[in-house]
Amino acid sequence: MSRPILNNLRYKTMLKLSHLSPCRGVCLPLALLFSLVLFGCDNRGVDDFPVLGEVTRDFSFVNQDNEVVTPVVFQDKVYVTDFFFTTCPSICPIMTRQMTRVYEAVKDEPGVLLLSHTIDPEHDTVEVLKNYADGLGIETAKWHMVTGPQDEIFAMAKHYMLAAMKYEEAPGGYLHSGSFVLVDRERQIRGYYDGTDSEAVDRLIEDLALFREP
Amino acid sequence: MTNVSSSSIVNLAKRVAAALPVVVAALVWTAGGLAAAETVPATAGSGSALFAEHCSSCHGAAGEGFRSLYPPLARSRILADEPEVLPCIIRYGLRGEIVVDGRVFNQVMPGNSLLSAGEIARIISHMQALWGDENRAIEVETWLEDCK
Ligand code: HEC
Repeated sequence: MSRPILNNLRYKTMLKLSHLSPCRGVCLPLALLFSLVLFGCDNRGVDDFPVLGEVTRDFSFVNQDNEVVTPVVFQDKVYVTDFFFTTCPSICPIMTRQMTRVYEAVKDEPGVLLLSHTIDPEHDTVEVLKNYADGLGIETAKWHMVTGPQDEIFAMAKHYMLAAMKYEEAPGGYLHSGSFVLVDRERQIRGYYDGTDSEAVDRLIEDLALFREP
Repeated sequence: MTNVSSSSIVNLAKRVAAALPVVVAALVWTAGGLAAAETVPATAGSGSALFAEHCSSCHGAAGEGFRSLYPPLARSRILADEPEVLPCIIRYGLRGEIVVDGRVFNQVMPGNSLLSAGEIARIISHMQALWGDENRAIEVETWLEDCK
């Protein structure tokens, strides 16, 4: 919807400028450059994001404050979700840093929530998650860190089309995806982002700004 | 006169042109070297490479730590005051309340059983050189015997 309007605007601006002959040589290229900067790269709308999947599975987990977390919590919200565990030595600490960047970016946006699942519920009890969240200094209402039956958590990872499994040889004993998943208000998956890559997470933060508008 | 000078200009131009690939190559080489120096530590298996691989994901590339989750090793007094506990922390991990740089941390550091005594020694000497006391003797094998 928004793209045609912007293109139209750009067209009109160029037309008008080309009538001002004295400044044509300098202004026109400048105006072109300007309109490119203004509209060229930034005219994406949510319609440009294909629907990659639908979150239809029900779940019931418990967060760091011992509150039950079900899909109801995410009703009419855009959310970002991932799978991690607190003692993971390899990629999780980097994912946590990156998710903290997302947290800082959406802290004051009521329409966006974060949901991190531990894949090691045996170690990551509510108390351990609480302690971890306190170490990060985050608010539960914005960033839910949940635990629950391991097979349920693995099933949920699979539902988001992410890998998560026990694997003795991996550092920490688990193999799992480092992706962040963007889920829109209609529970549709709209993006996967490498949670260990700060540039991918820059993009996620930009995309969230598009999706959080009602 | 004109002929000579124009031909010498042509010659100069030719020489510059001939040298260009070398100049470009040198630039690329230097840039590559710089980029490599930033991302990949010089020798695989060196103290800095091992630190980057096994410690920096949590403690940060410059030992700066992260919030109240991962303590800043660059400010840990253990390096200068009590290095003999380092091998045990690295191999068996650490949990419970500690104070680093005046701040309380109470998290879980997982142990790393993959690192050999020699590798642990190289990591410690790397940290000592950057943030501690590089003149301290490092006796990993002996220190490991006293782990609690
Ligand atoms: C998975 C994350 C993680 C990794 C990887 C990790 N650490 Fe830690 N480290 C921690 C946490 C968390 C603490 C704080 C533990 C506590 O609160 O008791 C800690 C504490 C320490 C301390 C104690 C600091 C003090 O002043 O008391 C030292 C020393 C240390 N780590 C060294 C290392 C070294 C060396 C490596 C690499 C071989 C390493 N760590 C890898 C998470 C990690």
